[in-house]
Amino acid sequence: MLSTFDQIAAEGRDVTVDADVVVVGSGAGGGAIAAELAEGGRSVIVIEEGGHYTSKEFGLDAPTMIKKLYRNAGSAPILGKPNIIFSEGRCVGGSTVINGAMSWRTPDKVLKRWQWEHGLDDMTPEKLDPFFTKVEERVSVGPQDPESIGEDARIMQRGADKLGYAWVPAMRSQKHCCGANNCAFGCPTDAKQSVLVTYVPRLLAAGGRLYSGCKIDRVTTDGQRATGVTGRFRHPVTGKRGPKLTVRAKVTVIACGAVQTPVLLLRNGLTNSSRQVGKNFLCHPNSKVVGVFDKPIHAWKGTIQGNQIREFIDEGIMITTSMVPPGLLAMSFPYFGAQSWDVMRDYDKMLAAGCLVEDTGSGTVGVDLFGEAKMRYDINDRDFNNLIRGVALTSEILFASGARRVLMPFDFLPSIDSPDQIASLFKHPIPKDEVECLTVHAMGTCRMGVDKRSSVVDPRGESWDVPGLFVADASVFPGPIGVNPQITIMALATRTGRWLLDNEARYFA
Amino acid sequence: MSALGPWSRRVVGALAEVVLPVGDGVPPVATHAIVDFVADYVPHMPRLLALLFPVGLMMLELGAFFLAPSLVPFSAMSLARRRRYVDGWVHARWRLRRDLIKAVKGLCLLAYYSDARVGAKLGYTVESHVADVSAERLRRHAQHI
Repeated sequence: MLSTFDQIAAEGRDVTVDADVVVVGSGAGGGAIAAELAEGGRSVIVIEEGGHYTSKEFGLDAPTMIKKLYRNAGSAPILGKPNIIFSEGRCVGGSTVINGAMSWRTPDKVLKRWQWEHGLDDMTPEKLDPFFTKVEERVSVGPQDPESIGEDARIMQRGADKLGYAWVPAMRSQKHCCGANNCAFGCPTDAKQSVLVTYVPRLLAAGGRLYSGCKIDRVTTDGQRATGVTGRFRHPVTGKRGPKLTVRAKVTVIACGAVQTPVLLLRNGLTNSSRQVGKNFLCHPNSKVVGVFDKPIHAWKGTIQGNQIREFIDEGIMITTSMVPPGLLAMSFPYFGAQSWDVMRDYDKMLAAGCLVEDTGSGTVGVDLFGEAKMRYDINDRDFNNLIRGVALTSEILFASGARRVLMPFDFLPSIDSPDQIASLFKHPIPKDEVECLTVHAMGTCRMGVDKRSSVVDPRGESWDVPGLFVADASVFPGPIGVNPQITIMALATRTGRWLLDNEARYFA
Repeated sequence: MSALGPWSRRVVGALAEVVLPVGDGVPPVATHAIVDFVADYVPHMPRLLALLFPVGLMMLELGAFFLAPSLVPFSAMSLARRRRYVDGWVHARWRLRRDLIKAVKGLCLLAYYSDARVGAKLGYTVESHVADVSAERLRRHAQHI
């Protein structure tokens, strides 16, 4: 059963409910674990701060949808050198509603690092395979239908082939995606298999309950164990206050993402004996590079990412296409006035690509004066050099693809007109705050491990300090994964759900 | 819902006149529409940023006295002077100035280029594209979806 803010506010009464499990957050982690537990016979309540929207309500005006579907309208800054713009979903389905649905298993090399460096012996490809398989089936992971691949992906592919760079076709959670390329603002056709159209229906069909438009403020305990949560219904857009919600549960799962989960725990002063909550903040910093071609290429048509260039993945660099509507592209350029139009008039000839860096450094997430997230991340020299190298390689591929001009993510060098100019990026040190950076991948802020002095949760996702309190989102990653994290989040959350079902006597007696 | 008072709206409007493209063949979008867009956007920002937004506008407005330098505030300067002044902020050595102008300028440009007429002029006909590919998807795959 789904209850929205409007329904609860109309009733006008505070709500108190009991359940076996309460899950805070309905994104990749929350959705997956909630459905797993509900289908395993447990009574499950999911609470989502954002609103519930279906594809019928997904419009094509990007700013309107950003205000509805994104936390802070996608404008949360991670302060540091450089400042990084962080975007995440805040709606039923979480960031899966607004992401590109890229679906990769955790790379073997990453799992090996987690085993060796964090003692997570069960994190082997073999032991995780059943969870990956289950998740991939649930969200329909597969290659794109050829007709949905956009010209941008084909152009990048040709450039990579010319240079001998390896690429892989996109694996995405989708059913016959038609290349509307509106993934970031809610899929208008329901082809994208977000949590909204996969795990949420499964949860509800299994008797689970979902409250949307409710912000959780407190995780309650009896002094030892977690006993549930309390919060208040708030209109997801206007913030209007509604009745209070109290959920009493045997197990409490926090799955608000790697930024909001540590904020909730820090505000409650919970599970931080290791002093690691909010630390180890990883974000895969990435930068955008735009190629301008001689002819219209309609890069805004076709699936958001048709392939990924993986030639440099072992160096921590991944390159792919990611075209956005004109407004979002224009605001990222340093131009204004007539100069802006001179550049943007070629929008239909532009191809936006991005390079993502697997971070070796980390930042922090804390709580600001208003109880909101305060993110800090200074990119380290190694990662910064990798980012510049990624920009250079992306530019090289764009020129090899036939671009006549490449628009760069640097204030001091807005564009270059020939591949010969790429070398200029390495001639002088580039100030870190001169680079445009953004991210949609947050990880690591409640990392799992085998040593409670250096981790927040145990290898199953349960708090070392508060029994019955679990974390099931990218917070638990002990390190970066270098690829899109959705499938890893879902697989680990499913694994935690399975653990709870297999240990009923311990948690639900 | 608006977090901007009349004074802030005037500064945003003065900035929008500088930032928005003008010229032959450039679709016009009314300045007040841009101001409304920005005013509607600000309350969605993180609370601290939303509170600091008018402070930043005040810096832009009053900074004209000593940064331009000018005898009148930013919003009362001629368009040509405002353009030079904004250019100074875009290329300022002090990062806070660059970041501030980037944010406000970015919102104005987001508003402008998100206007359907501007999008159509750029060849971004997203509604017809989505209608076409959605229909084609149903034609090809109706039995499997």
